[in-house]
Amino acid sequence: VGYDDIGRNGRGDDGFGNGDGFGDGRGFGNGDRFGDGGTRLLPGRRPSQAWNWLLAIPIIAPLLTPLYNRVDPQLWGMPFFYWYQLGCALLAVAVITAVYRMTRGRS
Amino acid sequence: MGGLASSGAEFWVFTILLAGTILLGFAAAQWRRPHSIHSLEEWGVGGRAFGNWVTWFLLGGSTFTAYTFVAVPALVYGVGAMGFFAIPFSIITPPLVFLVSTRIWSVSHRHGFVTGAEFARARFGSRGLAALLAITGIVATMPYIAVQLLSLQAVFKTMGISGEWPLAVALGLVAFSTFRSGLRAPALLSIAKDVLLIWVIIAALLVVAMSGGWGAAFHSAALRFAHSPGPGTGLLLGSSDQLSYLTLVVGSALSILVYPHALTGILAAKDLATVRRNAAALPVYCLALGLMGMLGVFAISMGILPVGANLAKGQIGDLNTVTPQLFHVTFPGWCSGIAFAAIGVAALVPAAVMSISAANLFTRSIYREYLHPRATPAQEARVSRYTSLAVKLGAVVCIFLLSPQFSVDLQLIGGVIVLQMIPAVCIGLLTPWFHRWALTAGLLVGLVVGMVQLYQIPQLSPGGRSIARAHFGGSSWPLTHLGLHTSASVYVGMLALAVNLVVVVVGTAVLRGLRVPAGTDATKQADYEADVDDPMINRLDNLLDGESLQGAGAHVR
Repeated sequence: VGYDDIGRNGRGDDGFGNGDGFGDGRGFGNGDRFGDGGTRLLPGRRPSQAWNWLLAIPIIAPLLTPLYNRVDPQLWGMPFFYWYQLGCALLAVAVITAVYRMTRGRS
Repeated sequence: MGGLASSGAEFWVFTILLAGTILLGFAAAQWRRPHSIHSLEEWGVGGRAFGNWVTWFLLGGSTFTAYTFVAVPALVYGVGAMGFFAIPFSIITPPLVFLVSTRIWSVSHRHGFVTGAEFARARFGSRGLAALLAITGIVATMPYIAVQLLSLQAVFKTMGISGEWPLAVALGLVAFSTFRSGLRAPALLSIAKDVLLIWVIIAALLVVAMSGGWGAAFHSAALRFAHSPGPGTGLLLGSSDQLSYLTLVVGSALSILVYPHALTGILAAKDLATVRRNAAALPVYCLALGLMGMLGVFAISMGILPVGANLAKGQIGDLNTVTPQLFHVTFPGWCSGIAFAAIGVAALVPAAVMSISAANLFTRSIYREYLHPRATPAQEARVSRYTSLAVKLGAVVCIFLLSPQFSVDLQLIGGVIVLQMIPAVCIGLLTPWFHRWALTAGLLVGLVVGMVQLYQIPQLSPGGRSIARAHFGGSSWPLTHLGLHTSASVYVGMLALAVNLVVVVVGTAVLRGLRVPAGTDATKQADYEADVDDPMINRLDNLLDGESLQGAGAHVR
């Protein structure tokens, strides 16, 4: 996976997971001096890093307090406030697993 | 249930399980024994060789600690919804680990770092900054170890065992096994811990189901909160509590990215895929934590009182004992013994990991930088071993000599100050733009602001009518201090971090404008994407003094 991974970053895809978009130099200006990743670019198709944006879902869902700070609907006697947040944990497992599977390299 | 017979069973099941688990820690010395444990990468990060399962248990064991399992139900018991913050916090942490911590894994693998401070030293070319970060990390970690021991002490208190010696014996044994086996010891212990924990959760769910289910529990808890209203309490968040809840959630999640013990767990993973898969599986622990949190509600409905509580005299007692008391009262004796052993192991695992992390910080950023720059890997490992003993001893002294309340205060402060490492250790992974002096200034300003704000927060007595303690009474800082007409408050850590970031950004702009020389960045863009099959060539030592570091320990494949 290794060198291929590096090559991907050098291209600066549109996702943000592996630093593209944060650390690739477009935002903060480090790309010029240290962006040597591109020189190691090996041929080969890489899965798109755009999948990383999906990770915003499990980050934002548990932060929507105005949405879930309520009693109804209840589940097994639990107020919505409590079971919604537990549900977010399951959501996080599902989303991160999906992103992992979509972005992993060939091994 | 009480009764002599059942409390006897409780005691013996607890003692045998705890002793058996600690023996397992000694067996860790033989487990996947490396050719030589005499290097810091073998001792301090398990040779960077932990696979999916071990990493999962270790990360779970060191971030979902006994203090979490004891304090979260106690908080929910005391204040209701506000105490549930730990659940959303632990849900948003894994996606952040997936995105950010993979980068520190890569760069550390490439350069042989075992701590975040070393990374900042290489990234920003300042050993002063690294030393300051190391000290911040150690100061934040020590009280965290102390509160783990307090959780274990709460278990002893519930069983009616007084005195500090049982605590000292348990910690002494774990300290010894960690001294010998390094990170392998807590890694094995954390597997045992989770087996016990699963048992506890199943047992707790059964007991809740047999006692009328969650509906009945929430109903009687709602009655209690309606009966004795206080500021920030209730089964739902008050309108002015939401900001405080959110900032606490985000602040706690960010702190996991820089807490030394969490980094140690991540750096011990054998490849990037292991870190990512673990990020996907970690929210499973949130379910466990969420159920534990709701046990606080169940404790209200069962009329559980903490040890030392006296309602007539208005004493609230030791809230840490709410969870152990709940198990003690509702479980059969042998079963509460298992639960207590789970809490005990859950206290000793993070105590071991944290002391290893603190020791690594000292060894790499203070000992090697200032005291003995030419230290060999064997000398580093030896220094770390003895430092880890010293750190544990420090935590015990913290508890024995100072009041337990002091440890809890320090832990509160620790959470705030560890966040001040975010610009250098976390944002630094994404950009080298920051100037080393601006980062140092930001860190110092953030620390001072955080301390001052914590000092300004009084603790209210139960019911909220009077002030019980004038200072360090919590971490929610009322915005009225800023002259705003609102009842909302904000988590101190996030405010201090905001001030810290402003100083860093403005300072960097000014210093760069004045062309003050910034440090040399010893890392390359490609280092942040490296995986296990990349050669570990760019060792910091090579770059700095052209000296080759032989036998650096990690498994180069």
